[in-house]
Amino acid sequence: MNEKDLGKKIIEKIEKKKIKPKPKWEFLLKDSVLWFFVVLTVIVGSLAFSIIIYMIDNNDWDLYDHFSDNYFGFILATLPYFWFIVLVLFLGLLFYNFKHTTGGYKYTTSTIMLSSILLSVILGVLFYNLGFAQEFEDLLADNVQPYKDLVKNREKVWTQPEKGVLAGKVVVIIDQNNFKIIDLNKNEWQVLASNLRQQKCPHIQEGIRIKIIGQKITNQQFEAHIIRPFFKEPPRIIPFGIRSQQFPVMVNCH
Amino acid sequence: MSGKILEKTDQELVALALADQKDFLFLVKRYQNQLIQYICRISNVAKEDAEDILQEVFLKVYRNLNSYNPKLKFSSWIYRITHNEVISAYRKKKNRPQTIDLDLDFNLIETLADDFDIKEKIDQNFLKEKISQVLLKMDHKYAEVLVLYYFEQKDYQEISDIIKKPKGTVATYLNRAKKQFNKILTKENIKFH
Repeated sequence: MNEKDLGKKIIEKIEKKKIKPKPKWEFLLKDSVLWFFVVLTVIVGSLAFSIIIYMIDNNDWDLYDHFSDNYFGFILATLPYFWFIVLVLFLGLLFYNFKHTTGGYKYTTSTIMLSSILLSVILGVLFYNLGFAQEFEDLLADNVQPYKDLVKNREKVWTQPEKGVLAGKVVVIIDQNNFKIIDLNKNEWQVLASNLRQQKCPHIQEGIRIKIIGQKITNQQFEAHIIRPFFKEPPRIIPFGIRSQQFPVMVNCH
Repeated sequence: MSGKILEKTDQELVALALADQKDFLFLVKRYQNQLIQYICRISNVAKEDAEDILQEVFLKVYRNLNSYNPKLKFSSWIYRITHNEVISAYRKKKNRPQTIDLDLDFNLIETLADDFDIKEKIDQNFLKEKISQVLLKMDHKYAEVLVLYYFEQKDYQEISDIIKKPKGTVATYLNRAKKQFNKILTKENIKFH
């Protein structure tokens, strides 16, 4: 086929099949959807990282001997595996989505992966400081049943009065050294806190969640040696309206 | 092609084609020869099949004209579509080429021969046949990079845009392609004299 024939044949085919160029908006839409998913995966990945920081920060590393025979065993038992899996999954999705953007092919796998990790770390630290980790984690724990079960399992570690650990919500205050809590199994405990071995204590108020290291006296009485807020207040600069959880104020122990 | 049209840039021709489909003919005429050569160089299809592939390429180009981004060279964009179309033709046939019609001009062969230290004075047609044999035995991705670099005379950036790989990867592919080319020469005992 000569040059003239081929060109003519193509134009004839275009006319016969009534082929039209696809409209520009179709390509713009496709690109926008892809970029939307890139941004979404960045945000979810960063949130996952912020929750990892939040959980590691609240892991009570100094109390490991109450939960495990050795430090390494404690680390293995308490790492937030679920959020590590979420982070890796969303980093993978971010990589996939970014590679499929118009210019994504120009970057090497290692450049994209390192940038994604760096971005997730930076945004994760920022989200943590803004208090998003706490808010998002609470939102999931309150509304998503499988996650609620996962959280319960983690919190069960703190409901072993025989081993000297107890956690729950303050329900009745007699004074700062004598108050009642409801533990995660809905049992009521009287907490005696006149023998604390710490300098700073959470100011006991109704509704706050605390964790206690101490000694079971009876089936309803527990002597506290160390009291801590269940979750530390993250160093956040979030507007007041979004704070959904009550954090205890730290004061000198009585 | 009239002188006026010859002076127009690819982008201007794209704009003309979008305004009037008959003007798409100018783009077809500008690229059909080099693309048919490229198809033949990287595939084993008969001339008629190559023309069928080329037709599909141009139909795809026309359908997607609005997605062409002027930040990219138009030639890289159209080569990319051709590269994809050849790969999809491979997949349909599920086989690799048995022969390659290199359709090279002798200057290009000499460039490659210089780079690979093939210094003997040899018959160009004989050399062309030997190069075809080696390319056939190479991994397709490496053979294609060699074809794009030596025979289509594309630079790293253009190859990167055509095969959609980072520039660094193109350099790696080219390096590995040269090694594989030499290895096959030795292994198969292909002599240029």
